[in-house]
Amino acid sequence: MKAKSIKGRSVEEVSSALEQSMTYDFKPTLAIVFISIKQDRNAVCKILSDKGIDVAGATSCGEFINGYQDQGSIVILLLDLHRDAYSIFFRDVGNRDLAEVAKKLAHNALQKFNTPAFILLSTGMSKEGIVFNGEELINNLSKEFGGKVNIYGGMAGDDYSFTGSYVFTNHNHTDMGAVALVLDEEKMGLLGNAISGWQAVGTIKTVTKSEDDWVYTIDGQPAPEMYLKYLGKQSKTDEELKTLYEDIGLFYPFQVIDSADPVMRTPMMIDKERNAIKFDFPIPQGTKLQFSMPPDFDIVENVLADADQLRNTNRFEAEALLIFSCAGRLNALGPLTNSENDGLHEIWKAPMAGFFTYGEFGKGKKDRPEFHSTTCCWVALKEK
Amino acid sequence: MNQNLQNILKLVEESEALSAEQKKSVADWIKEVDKTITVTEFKLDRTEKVKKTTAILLEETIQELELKRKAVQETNDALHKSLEELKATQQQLIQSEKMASLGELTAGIAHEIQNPLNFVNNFSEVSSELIDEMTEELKKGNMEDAQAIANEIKMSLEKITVHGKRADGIVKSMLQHSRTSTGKKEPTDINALADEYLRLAYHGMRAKDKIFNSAMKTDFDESIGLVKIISQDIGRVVLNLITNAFYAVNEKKKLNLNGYEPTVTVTTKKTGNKVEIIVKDNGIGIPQKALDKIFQPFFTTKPTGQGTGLGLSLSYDIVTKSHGGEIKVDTREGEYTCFSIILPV
Repeated sequence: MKAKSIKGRSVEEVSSALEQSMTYDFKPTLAIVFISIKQDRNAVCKILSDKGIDVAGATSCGEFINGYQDQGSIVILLLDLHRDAYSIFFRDVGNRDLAEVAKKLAHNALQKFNTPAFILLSTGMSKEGIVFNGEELINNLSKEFGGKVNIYGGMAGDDYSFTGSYVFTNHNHTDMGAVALVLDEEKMGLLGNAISGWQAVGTIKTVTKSEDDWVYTIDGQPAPEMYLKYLGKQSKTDEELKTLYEDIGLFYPFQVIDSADPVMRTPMMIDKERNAIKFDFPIPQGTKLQFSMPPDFDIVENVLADADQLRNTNRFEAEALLIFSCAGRLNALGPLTNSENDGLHEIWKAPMAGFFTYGEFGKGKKDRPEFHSTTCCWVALKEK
Repeated sequence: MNQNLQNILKLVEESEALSAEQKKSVADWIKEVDKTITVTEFKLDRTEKVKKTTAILLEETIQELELKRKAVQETNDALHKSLEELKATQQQLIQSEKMASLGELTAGIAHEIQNPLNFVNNFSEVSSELIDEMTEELKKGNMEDAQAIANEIKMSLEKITVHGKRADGIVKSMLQHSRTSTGKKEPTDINALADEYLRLAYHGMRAKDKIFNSAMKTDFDESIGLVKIISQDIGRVVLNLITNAFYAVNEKKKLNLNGYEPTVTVTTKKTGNKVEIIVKDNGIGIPQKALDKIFQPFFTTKPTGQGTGLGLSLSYDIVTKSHGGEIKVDTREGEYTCFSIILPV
């Protein structure tokens, strides 16, 4: 497999970069596209389709390739890979049962390959503001394989606009669904990891009144008041509260600690009339949670040291690298995300592309694929 | 890029003194410095943000911890109060158990008092008749006979005194039994204590159940002498064990087994620096499944209303905690039960 990563701030720039990348010994068959919603993804897909290149893509909250990071742009990882080694499945999920979707996806993948692995791109939030339940999708998909499957990927972003995020192939796109790039693990090797670094702080609190993804009271106190007070943000205006997610939600998510594995739940917005906080996922009454603080600056070194150790332990030489980094990292780590992403590229020394996500899929501390948020999730690829 | 760095970069680019290669190197250095400045600025900004949040969180956490500390303190106080109440209730229960056993003894005590009283009455009547006789003899001027009768009266009055004291002793003993223990160990004749409670318990049973009967055997080691114990408490233990033994043989007797002779044996013996009081019966025995619970408070195999379930539990505490001794049980269901109280001398 050969790989190249290209970028552009416009369709023309990408078209030009694509032309330059295609040489007599590099004829890409597959393009993994991460693109801002501000860009014309149909035009990009047409250019790629015209070149006979298959497309699996997602919209983003910031895009990057080796040595370049931007917002509002287009990045593409081009792979010159035999078509026997992969297959792309598009699923417009809508209101369908995700367990059923996952089951069929697993069935289709197994019909194609004995040992399938997944690069899974799902939508983040629909035009109507409904958050896609990536957690349910990956849990069900993983369950179909008894947890013994490689799944890496991310949930599409929309430049924090909450106007709808998309996944797409050459001719299809949806704001409520997923694109699965299924790889044949008999021909392809994958190695990846997901690390967060956010730490729980303060005392354990209980959700005392909630309805779906709206939380009204925590420990008997109005949730917005408590959240903003804790974060020293009482003076926020109504307008500022609507963009809570970008401003502080990503910075200070809650850690739900009911289960053995704490999960992050992100405040999306505050509705002053309702006097409630809207979260990215439903929070049942009685849920125990803690505030969490962004990681220390040395998290970047930790992510890189961990990747280096994995590379050495597994003696894995990558030919391409994908990174799915939580949009919250961009806020919490700022320019250090450059160091994180470029650092990973330095370790693997392979063409890289990635985007800032609304959620990540991958193996973390446990040896099975999971849904994450706040993580830097990466996967190195090579042809066997 | 930082404005000052931009100015330097511009100067370098316009400079004719530097080669193109040198210009590129300087430009790279400037970019690196700019990157470092950007990262440092961000770190400072975030540190400030996090510092503020952490301070608020810390303050709130301290407040919450203080609230929780107060709640823990209140719970602690409530627990302490409950414990005191529990202790008081326990004392009341102990007293109730004592009174219950006293009730069981009433009939036996009445029987014990009846004997001396009979003697007192009889000798009083005899004394009265003797005085009449003596008066007659004195009228006759028969001084010798009058003197002899006076001697008989004196002997009779001495017997009244003896039996009066016996009755007095029994009443005192009963009062002592019902009184709260002083907790003071005093030299006690263990054999006399065991014998007394055996008889009291027997008559108690007889009073409650007229057809009750059981052989009583004693085998007392006379070498024991006086042993320092809290006699009221050990008395209660012995009484409890003997009452249980009588209950067990009575229950077995109700089965009408051929040739069954109910027997309760009380033995005392001294072994080295230990004294043992053994109460053995050939009654119904204790079921194996109940054996590990018999010393638990409120556990009883007796029908409702017939046992408090505190007797053996209190006995266990008296022997082990107050006297540093042991209480052991050996039993076979349907055949026998043998309790041993082992006390250090």
